[in-house]
Amino acid sequence: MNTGIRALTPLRFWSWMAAFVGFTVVCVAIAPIFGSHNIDFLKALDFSIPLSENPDRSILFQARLPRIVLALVAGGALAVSGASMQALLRNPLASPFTLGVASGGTLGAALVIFFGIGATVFEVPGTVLGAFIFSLATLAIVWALSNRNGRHPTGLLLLAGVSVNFFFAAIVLLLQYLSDFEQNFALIRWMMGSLDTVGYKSVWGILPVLIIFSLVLFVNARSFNILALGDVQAQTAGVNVRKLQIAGFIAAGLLAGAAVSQVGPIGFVGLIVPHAVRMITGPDYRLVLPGSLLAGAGFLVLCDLISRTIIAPVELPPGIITAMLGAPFFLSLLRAKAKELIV
Amino acid sequence: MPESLYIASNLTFGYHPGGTVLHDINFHINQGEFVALIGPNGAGKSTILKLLAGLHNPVSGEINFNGRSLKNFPGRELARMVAYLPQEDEIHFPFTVGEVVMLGRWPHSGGAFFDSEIDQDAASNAMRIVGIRDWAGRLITELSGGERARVILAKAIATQPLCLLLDEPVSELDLKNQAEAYQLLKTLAVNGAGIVVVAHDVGGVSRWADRLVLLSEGKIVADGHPSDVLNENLLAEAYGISVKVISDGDDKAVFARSNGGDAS
Repeated sequence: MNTGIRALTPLRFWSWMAAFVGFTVVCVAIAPIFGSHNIDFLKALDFSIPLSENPDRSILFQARLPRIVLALVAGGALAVSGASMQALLRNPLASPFTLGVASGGTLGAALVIFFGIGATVFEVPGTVLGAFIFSLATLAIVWALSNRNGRHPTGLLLLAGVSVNFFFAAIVLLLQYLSDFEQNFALIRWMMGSLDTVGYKSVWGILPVLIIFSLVLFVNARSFNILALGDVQAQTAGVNVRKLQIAGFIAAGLLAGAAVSQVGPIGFVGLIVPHAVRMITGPDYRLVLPGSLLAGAGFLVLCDLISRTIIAPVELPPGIITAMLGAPFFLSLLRAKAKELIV
Repeated sequence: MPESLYIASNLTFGYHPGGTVLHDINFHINQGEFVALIGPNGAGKSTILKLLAGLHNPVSGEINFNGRSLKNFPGRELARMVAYLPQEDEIHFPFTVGEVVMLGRWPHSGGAFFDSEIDQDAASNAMRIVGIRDWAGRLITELSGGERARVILAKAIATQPLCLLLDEPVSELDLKNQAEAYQLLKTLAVNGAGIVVVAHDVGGVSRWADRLVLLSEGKIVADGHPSDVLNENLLAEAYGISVKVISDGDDKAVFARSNGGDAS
């Protein structure tokens, strides 16, 4: 019987997933071909030549592929974090950074750079550690500030997040003002974000978080749908709203914090990818969450490809490309399909 | 003797200490009964509905539902049997009407990820009952307030509850849709569901309700057949304005006298 109801059947779900995987695979397939140095692929894959005498192979395997994988996991983490923030805050303008994860992370990195804490802990650079700890601490502060009799109204969360964002941004500016030229340069580069990496160390800083906490969010996808009807409706439908909020914010915060600490506060991915996915699949979070993970991964690989090639051999920070490419694309989608976006 | 769905005994409630909203009230809701809660603003009508929905726990007294204390119901089990429609609905993000109605199946999903055929049938049946079968693909964000009210009602019916609690369900509807909505609730009651509505249109709801419960200042002032409760003196006392009741067969209209304000 055709009821006209857009139900989520396994066929519909897996068809969409196949489409998103296809998009990401295409992005990954074209990305290693281009770069400031043209690789001879036949030579790169010729394992008879020792690595030390085969620059093509070392560029491919030690620079370009790790970088692509880093863009995949960071883009996926930011996008799925943004989608869940939008669900939890019931606000289309929410992003992974709305509740202070990026400003907190930046402050953490700024403090490490300013005080010259060069130390690494278990080979993790100080800036990564500082950014990760501060991004999560900020989320905890915003959560505590928005507490009203054990409840956390979305309006209060948003206001607390925005205020803390401004406050931390001011401290970062103060640190910049007091910093010398070299420190300033390091901090500005950090704030622009970077996917420059050697080996897979940064990837391992994100991947476990991505796997575990994306799953936490996916299994709650149906509850996120109910949450769109408001706290009261969710509660009377039998959703444990408080538990869902706590699990959701911890998962979204860890995903964004892990990504920000490794690649810097790359903006826009976490805002527009969930919306772009929502526009094509509809707002069902069972599609939006995994769709955002896959599309966000592909999107950041694509943006990184452009940032590496557009004025090669100079590489642009990926955050500039995500915004410069993302904003016009998003605005054109918005003009075409405004009614399916505006709540 | 019909079976009681809800029995509330010595119910007292306040949102914060010292601010008691309900004072020691007793009432019951039977299976297949259409009950309307009426009374002035702030009388405690919506609060009763929230307590019945399990959104708050009474300060003292007890609510029994289906033979068990409401306290002992896990959220999802209660959600399968009771559908609550708040005064103001909110729906964020552009879900289709069909998707919103399907959300009513969540309490039955048992944690399943996909929508089952049973869910789809129940949702489609609910849309047919409410008369919105052709709306499945429309975006909820593009509907008028009255249209949304019907979708929310269909969502509640898709849950197939024993009892529906509706806070001013017809306030956004025009005359025809009001009558149709009440007719529909009446039909659901005849088929065995308990229906509790909060209503301000006292005359309009009395045509359909089996029983009116008149509240004033957190107490039940009258509880009985509409023809008994729609008493000019009772209403004047409760609402604090002199009142005229006009009958035309089963239909009744209640007017506040424009020269009034003085109930005595």
